[in-house]
Amino acid sequence: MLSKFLVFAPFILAMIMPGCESCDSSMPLSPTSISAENKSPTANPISEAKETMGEILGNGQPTEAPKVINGVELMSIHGWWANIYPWDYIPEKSAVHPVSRLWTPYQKPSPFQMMEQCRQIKDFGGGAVVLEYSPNQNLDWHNYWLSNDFVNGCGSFFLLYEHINGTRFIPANDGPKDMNNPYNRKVFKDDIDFMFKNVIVPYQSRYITMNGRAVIYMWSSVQMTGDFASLLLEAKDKYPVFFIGSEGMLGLPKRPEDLERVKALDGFMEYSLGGPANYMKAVQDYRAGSYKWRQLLRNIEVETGKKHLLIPTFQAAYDDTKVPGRTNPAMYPRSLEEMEYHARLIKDAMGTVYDRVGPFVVYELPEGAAVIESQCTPETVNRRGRYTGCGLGRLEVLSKFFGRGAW
Amino acid sequence: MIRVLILVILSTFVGANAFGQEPKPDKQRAPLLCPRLCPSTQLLNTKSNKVSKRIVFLDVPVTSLRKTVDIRRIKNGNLQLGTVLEPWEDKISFGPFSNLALGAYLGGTSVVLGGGFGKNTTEDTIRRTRGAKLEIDQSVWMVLFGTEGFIEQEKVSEISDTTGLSVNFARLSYGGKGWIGFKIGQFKDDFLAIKLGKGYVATEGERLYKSSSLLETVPFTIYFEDFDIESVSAEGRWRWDRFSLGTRADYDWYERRLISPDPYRYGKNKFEDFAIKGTLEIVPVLKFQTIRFLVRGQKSFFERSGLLFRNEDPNLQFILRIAF
Repeated sequence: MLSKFLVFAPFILAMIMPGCESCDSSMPLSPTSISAENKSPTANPISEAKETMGEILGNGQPTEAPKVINGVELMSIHGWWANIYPWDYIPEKSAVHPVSRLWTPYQKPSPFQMMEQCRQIKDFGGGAVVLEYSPNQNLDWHNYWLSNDFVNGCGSFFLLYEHINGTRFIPANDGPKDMNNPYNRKVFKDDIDFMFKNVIVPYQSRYITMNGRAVIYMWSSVQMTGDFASLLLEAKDKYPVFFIGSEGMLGLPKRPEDLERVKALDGFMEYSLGGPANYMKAVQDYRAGSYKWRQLLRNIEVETGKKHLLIPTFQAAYDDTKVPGRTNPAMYPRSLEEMEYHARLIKDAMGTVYDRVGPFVVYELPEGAAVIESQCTPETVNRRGRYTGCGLGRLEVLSKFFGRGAW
Repeated sequence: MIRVLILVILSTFVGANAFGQEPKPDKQRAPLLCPRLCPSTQLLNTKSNKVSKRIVFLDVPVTSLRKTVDIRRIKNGNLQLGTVLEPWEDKISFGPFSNLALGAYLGGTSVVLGGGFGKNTTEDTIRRTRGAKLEIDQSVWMVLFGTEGFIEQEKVSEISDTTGLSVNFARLSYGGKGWIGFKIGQFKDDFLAIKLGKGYVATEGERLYKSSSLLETVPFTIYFEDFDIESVSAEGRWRWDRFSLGTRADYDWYERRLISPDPYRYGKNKFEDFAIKGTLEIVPVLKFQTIRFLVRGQKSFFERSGLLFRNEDPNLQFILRIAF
C-alpha cells in the first residue's frame, strides 16, 4: 500500500501543478519555497532549504564549492553591458516608455519580450547582460529569471545582487546596512551561497568570470558599512567569486573601514553618475572623478599587489520625477552631441583610466536611464534643449561608440 | 655632414683640433707641464688675444628641427608609457625661435637662459611649443655648484576629429635640478667641469574636447607623472684662434615617485638617459667676431626617455651665435 502511494503521489502532484509559480509551496528546493506570508522578513530560506536538502540527501555534509567557474572571461567580452530587470513597467512611474514589442505596461517582460530585448541589445553592439537579481525569495525574481532560462538569448551574463532594497538585511529597504551586525553578516553569506549554488554553478557556461571567479555586482557597496571587508574576503575564500562594487566616483574613501572595503572589492562600476541636473557637468565630473579613482587604485596596487578593475558607466539621462516621493531634478543632455561627448569621454579613457571593458548601461525605467527602444510621446520626444533619444537614439549612440565596428 | 660630426666628437675626446689643425706654436701657449686645463689664471694670459673672449652670446638655431614624441603616441593617448611602446621619438620643425639661448659668463658665474616658441603644422594637426629654462653655474675656486629649472608646454590641436568633436592635447612639464662638482679653468675660456646633480621633474597631460555645439567643456587629466632625477655631467671646452671645441656628457637616472605597478598601464618606474654632445664653434672672420657659427652633434646611447618631459635637440644642429 505504501509503495503504491509512493509511486502515485508524485504522479498526481505533477499532474495538478500547472506552472512554476505554484511549485514554490510544494517544492522545497525551489527558491520561492519559503512562503512570504508565513515568514518574517528576516527569515532565512537558505538555511531551511539546506536543511530540507540534507533530509532528502540523507546527509548533513556541506558540498564543496568548485574552485574555478568555467565561464566566459570578462576581459574577452567586447561591447557594452545592459543591465536588465525583472520589474513591472508602470507607465505612471516611468520616464521611459518601451515599445510594446519589448515590454507590456504593468507587466514584467514576457519570455518572448525578453528574447526581443536580447536581440536588440545584440543588434546594437551589446556584449553581455547584467541581471538585476535578489536572493530574497519574497521578491520572486529568481523564478522570473528561471522562467526566461536566465536570458539565454542574451548570451553571457552576471548578477547584480540587490543588496539595498527588498533584502533580508536589517533594514530591509533603503539606507546603509551595518555589516558588523551578526545577523546581516549571516544573510550576506547565505545570499552568496544561494546565488552561487542556484545561478552561478548551474549556468556557469554563460556566467561571466574574471580569472575563473564569478562576477557579482553590488550596485551600492558604499552602503555596506562596518567591517564588510572581512566578509568579502571570507566569501571569496569560500567561493570563487569576484565582487564589483559601486562606491561613488565623485569622492574618495576617507574612513579606514571604507578604504578596507575598497581594498577587499575587486572592481568598481557606478550604477548612476549622480551629481547635478546639468548633464555636461555630471559626465565631466564623473570623468574627472574616475581619474582620481584610478590613481587611488594604483596606490592600492602598489601597496597590496592587488589589481582592481574600473569599469565605465554610460548614462543616457536621469529622470525619476515620476517616482513618488522623489524630488531629484531631471537630467538630460541638451543635444545628441552632449550624449556622444559622454560616450567619447568614456571611450578615450578606456585602457588608461578605465579598463578596456564595458561600459555598463542601466535599463531602468523609473529613473529614466533605460536605453531600450522607446516610444516618442509628446512628453518624451526630443525637443530643443532636451535630447531624450527616444526611439533608438540612445542605442545608436552606444552602437556607434561601443558596438562591433567600434573596437 | 656626418664626417664633420664624427670629427668634432673624436677630436673633442682626444683633445686634438678639429679638421686636423694643429695649434700654432705659440710662445703664449701653456707649457706641457701645465696643460690647457690648468686652473690658474696663467692660462688666460697664455692664450692668443686674437679671439676675444666674448662673455655674452645669443644662439639662434639655423636648423629648426627638434626631437619630440611621435604624434601617434599623443593621438593614442599613451604618451605617458614612454619607451614601453613604439613608436617613440620623432623629429619635427618648430621654426627658428623654438630653441634660443642667451648666455653670459661673468667671472666664476655662467648664466644661460634658453627657450622659445614654435609651431608645426601638418595636414591634420597643429603642434605648438613654448618653454623656458634657466641654468646657473657658480664656481668658487674649484668648487662648482649650480641649478637649473625649466618649464615647457606643448599643445596639439585636433589630434582627432572623427565624431564631430575635435580633441586637443596639452602637456605641461616642469622641473629643477641642483648640482655640485668641481671646475678647472674658466667658463669664458678653457674649462673642464664635473657635476653631480639631484632634482625633480613632473609632467602632466590633458585632453580638451571642442565642438561648436558643445558648451562648457573642460580639460581632463590623462596622466600626471613625476620623477626624482640623479645625474652626472662632465663638460669641457677648449679654445683656439678660430675655433673652440666643447663637449658635454650627461647621464641621468629617473625614478618614478608614485610607483607604477604595471609598465603597460603607467610606464616604467626607472629609466636612464645618456647623451654626449660635441660643439664646434667657428669664427669665420677674425675681425668681425660677433658672428660665429656652431655645429653641434649629439649622440644618445639609450632610448631618449627624457622626451616624456620635454623636446630635445636633434642629432645635428647648426647654430648662429652672436657674441658680444
